Amino acid sequence: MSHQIDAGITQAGAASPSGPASPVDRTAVQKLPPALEVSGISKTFTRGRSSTRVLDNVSLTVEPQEFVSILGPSGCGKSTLFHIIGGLEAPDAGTVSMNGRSVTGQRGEISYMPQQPALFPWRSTLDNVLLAGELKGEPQAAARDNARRWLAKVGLGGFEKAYPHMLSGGMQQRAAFLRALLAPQELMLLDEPFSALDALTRSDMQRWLLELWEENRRSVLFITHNIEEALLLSSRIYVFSGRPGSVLHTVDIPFPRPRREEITDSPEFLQLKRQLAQWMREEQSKDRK
Amino acid sequence: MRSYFKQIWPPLVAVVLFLGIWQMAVSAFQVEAYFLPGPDAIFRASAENAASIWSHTAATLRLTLIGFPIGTGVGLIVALLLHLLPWLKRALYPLLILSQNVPSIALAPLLVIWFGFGLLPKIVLITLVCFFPVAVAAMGGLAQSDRTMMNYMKMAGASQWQIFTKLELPGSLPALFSGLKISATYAVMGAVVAEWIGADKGLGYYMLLQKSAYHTDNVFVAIAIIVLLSLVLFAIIALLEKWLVRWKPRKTP
Repeated sequence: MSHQIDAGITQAGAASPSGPASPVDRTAVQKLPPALEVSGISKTFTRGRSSTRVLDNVSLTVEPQEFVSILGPSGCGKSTLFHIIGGLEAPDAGTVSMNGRSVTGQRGEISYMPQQPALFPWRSTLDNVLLAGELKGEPQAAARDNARRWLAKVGLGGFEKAYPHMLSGGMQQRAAFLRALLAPQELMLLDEPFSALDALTRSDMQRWLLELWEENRRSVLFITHNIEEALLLSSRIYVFSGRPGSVLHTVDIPFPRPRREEITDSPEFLQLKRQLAQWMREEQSKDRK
Repeated sequence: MRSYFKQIWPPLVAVVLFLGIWQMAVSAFQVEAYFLPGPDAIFRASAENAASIWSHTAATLRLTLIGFPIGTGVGLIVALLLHLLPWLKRALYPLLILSQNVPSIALAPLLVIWFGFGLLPKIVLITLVCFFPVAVAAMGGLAQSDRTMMNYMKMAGASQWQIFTKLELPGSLPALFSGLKISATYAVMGAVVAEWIGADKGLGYYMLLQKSAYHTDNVFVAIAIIVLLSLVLFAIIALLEKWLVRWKPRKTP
């Protein structure tokens, strides 16, 4: 189903820092096992007599310290895929493994940032950010100091004791991101984290996330339906089809890191953007038929 | 402070107006005092019998302050048990709702037969009227956790107990407090009814006594004190809520 394209412009492998995704190469170079490997996941929801196929044989890989995006129309089963990776739902077929270990159906293996910030209203910003570690029973004293430093770093200094409702939408999102970043799990799942923000705050947050990620390379699987966002941030993009969701295209993004926002004006960027937009349009129109 | 006055004066004016009309009507139509005393007569009666009224008030207050925590505690325990054991909830919840169709005053004679005339039947009665609002409100609050937060907790690998203590319990506090406020007023009422069925002191007993002597003014004094007790208990709960649920955004327009 999925096929590799050569990132549009570059032919040589030199401009592809994230590494090829073919399994043959991986064993040859003796790399670390992928941070996340999803293979052949299918899921059908049945309610009464009607059943909806949501995911169809989805396979994807996130290498250690790689930023990978899933780009797809709404209703392509992206959130269901996250729920399966997070162990909330069991797949009908397929497996999820992390660092070479099968974790299908296991909870507590990933760090998750939902679409809505979902900060706990009765916890201060600091306590919210510390939640994931607290759940894992990590010692709190050192974590608190670390979290304080991070809060200051992301522009939430002085808001440690504030309750979430006192923060703006962008600030809440930053706190939710920090909660995911400070979680003990290495792999982060970000589920359309910026979709609820206004355009200005959104591009602000994209730049912020890009910078932060390049400093602290974590393995990230990022869901979005914003093409520019996916191109700017990712090393690889999986383009999903409409319902049932499946991987249509796998695109390696060639831009070197650290990336700056200026790349969005480069001809390569625009060409990739056009290509992705066309695929998305095709999917949407297919959906309508 | 200013907005506080803005809120308080309309009901205050309404009460004053109501008392004024009452007073004028009683004098204008020359209503007999045993039938309906005017506010002035009631006020005078309360001053004359202050000492005995105070002792009866203290007795009712004591009964309320024993019964209310017990009733609330039972309500909380029922709510937690039924929440943590869903099969028990499915079995008992409909019966619990049904049980509220039994008027508490009808149970009173039975309670006397079973538990005598002491403190016990009275506490049982207050518990019966108090536990239900708390139990229903707490169960509702516990079951209505935010789904995104619930998903977050599960994906982060939270245990059942962590989900309960860190998400469900704090999230249920606002609902719990609305139940507590209802229970607080029920508790005073329950205490008075309990005193009707068999007591030698308390406002309920005092009311019966004064009614049979046609001291209608004293009956009104007792009613006023009962209202006041309910209000004070309600206010204490509301203050406690304000402090415990201070994380909730205030609903200012």
